[in-house]
Amino acid sequence: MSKPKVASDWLAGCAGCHMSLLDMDERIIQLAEMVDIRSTPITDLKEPDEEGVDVGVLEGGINNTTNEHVAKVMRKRCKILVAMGDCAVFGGVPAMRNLFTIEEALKRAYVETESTDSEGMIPQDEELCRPTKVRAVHEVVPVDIFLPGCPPSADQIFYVLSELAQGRIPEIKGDKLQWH
Amino acid sequence: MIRLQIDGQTVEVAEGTTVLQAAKQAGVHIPVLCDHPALTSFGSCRLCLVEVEGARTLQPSCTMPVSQNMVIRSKTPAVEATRKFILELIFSERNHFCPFCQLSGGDCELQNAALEHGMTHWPMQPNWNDFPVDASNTFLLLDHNRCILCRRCARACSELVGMDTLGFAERGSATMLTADLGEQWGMSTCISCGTCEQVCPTGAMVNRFSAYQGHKSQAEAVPTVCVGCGVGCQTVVYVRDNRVIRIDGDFDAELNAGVLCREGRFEALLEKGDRVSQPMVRKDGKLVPCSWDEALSAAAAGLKDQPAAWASLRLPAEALATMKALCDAVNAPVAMIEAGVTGPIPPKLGMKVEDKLGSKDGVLSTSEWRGSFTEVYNVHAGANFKAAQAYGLTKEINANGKKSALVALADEIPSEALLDAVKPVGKLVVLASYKSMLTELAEVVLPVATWMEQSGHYVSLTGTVQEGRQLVKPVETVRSSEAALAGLVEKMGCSVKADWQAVLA
Repeated sequence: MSKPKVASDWLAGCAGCHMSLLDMDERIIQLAEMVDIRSTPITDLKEPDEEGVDVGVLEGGINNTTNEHVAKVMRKRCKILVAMGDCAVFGGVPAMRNLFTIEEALKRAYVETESTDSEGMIPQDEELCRPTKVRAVHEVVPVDIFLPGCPPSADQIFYVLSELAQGRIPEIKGDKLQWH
Repeated sequence: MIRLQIDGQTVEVAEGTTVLQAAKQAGVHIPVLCDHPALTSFGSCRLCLVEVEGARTLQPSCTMPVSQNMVIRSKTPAVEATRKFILELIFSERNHFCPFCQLSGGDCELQNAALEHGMTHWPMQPNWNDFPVDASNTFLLLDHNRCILCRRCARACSELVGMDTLGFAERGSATMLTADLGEQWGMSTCISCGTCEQVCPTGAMVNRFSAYQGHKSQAEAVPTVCVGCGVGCQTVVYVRDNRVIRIDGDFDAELNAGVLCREGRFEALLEKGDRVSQPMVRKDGKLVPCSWDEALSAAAAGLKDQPAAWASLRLPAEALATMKALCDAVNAPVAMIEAGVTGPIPPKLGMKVEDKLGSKDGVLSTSEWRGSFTEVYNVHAGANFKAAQAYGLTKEINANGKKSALVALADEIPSEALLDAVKPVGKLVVLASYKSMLTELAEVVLPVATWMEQSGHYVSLTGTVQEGRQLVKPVETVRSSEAALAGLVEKMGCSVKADWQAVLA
């Protein structure tokens, strides 16, 4: 039997969860022996294989139409979807934006920021994705495993991925469950 | 006695006990949010629901009294599922995002309950209503976004403190915690005693002096006694890395039962100025740092000439006794350094002290407070007033003709009255923690510990002898007042026997 394939991607988050993933140090070699690491933000392949992967991992909440698209592609192409980190699980820090309208947020970011010169303008190009309310991943696509934490520790991430690699569903509880 | 069964265990408890209390006695853990051992049961959060055999629905164990042959099940799948659902509802109501809350990571009872129930996510997302933050109080901050409407704060304000400042307005999901009738907290009748913040299960109330200093759950909790005034409230002080990060009232204390005042909870944490960190003697008109030995020799020489003395009531009994014995040996009268008026003391606490004393006894007074309906108390006696009285220290001394003075000021800031009394007396030896007008006048300054840097005993107004524990270590060159005085005794070559306990017994 071939090794299970794992793909990951990064949505509205800070990349801290992927940093935490790398923080597992030499265990990443052990992990690479157990699974076939496919597309991730830190490997060359940028999209999960069309023929599908076994485990998809998403970091970050969903805050625009591109995030929505990426989440839907990942869901379609993976058997088990893991929401990794507080942003993917709850919406996290980016979701603070939901307390304002999108217009207010854009204006603050592109026009009112202290470092913006007098020509500050909100990007309007049709090719660009549209910002939306920030949502947890499970509000857009069904999620199988929730791994909260800001970020989840390397131990937690290693536990989840190694359990999945060995064909078991990880139990997120006790010392494997943290929120902050 | 009532006999009942909880999770298969038979327990016997007194009539009137709640199911929750009975479970605690049987060692069965039932999670709670709105319930607090020091407050009356309320039943608003529903987290403590249990199955009662024969009852149609799950019942809140915190408000349900036990009855004969009751059968309780606290861990059935239905109970667990309902508790999880209740938590889901609480999390969906307001903004409970943990990454930007200082309690996250051990100190939040709501987060702990969620983790205990294996909540990996919120099936219902929050509705993104924005709630206000009231930052008008100098000592406390109120973030309505984190409030779960458990009413612990309002119950504490009413039942323990007696102010009734906090209350709730509106109904259902529009319910809001209010001070008075919607007044800004800082402008309200609140006396900033902080009891509400101590019982708050979430990050809705923030102690401005302790926020972001570290978690209670990771700090060392030291039971000790407040030296803010003579009431002698028992406290639990949290210490982390040789720093006091927080002072809580001790709920097990007989007198104050968890309650403290503004001074005891918050102001005790403040530094009162620049520290005196080295012994100093005056040379050519200037105070210059020197060794302890040199400073003690200079002090002993200075005090040879008709001394008078003043002692702070914030000193432990041990230091006061040494001071008195030394002064007796050199025939110096000792006055108490009058503590300023302390207050506002919570009305219920003040009433308890008054009851125990039998009257206001000249040390308590009451005053109106910002138009509230209750009067607050003020205390006119320092922490060790009773011990000082027992040792024979007097409120005033006649310093006429005295040529030198020993002032054990410790961590107090000298009052105008003290300065006026001391100024006419010649050579001045001061034991002080902070630089002040008085150390400016001194011939010799001995650096001594603050209240949190020394241990010793305190006698409360109601006569209880209590131990104050050393919480943090001072820098090497700072000694406790007792040690500094003992050094002085040795240098002056007096034979002094100070037994702090003998006189008090």
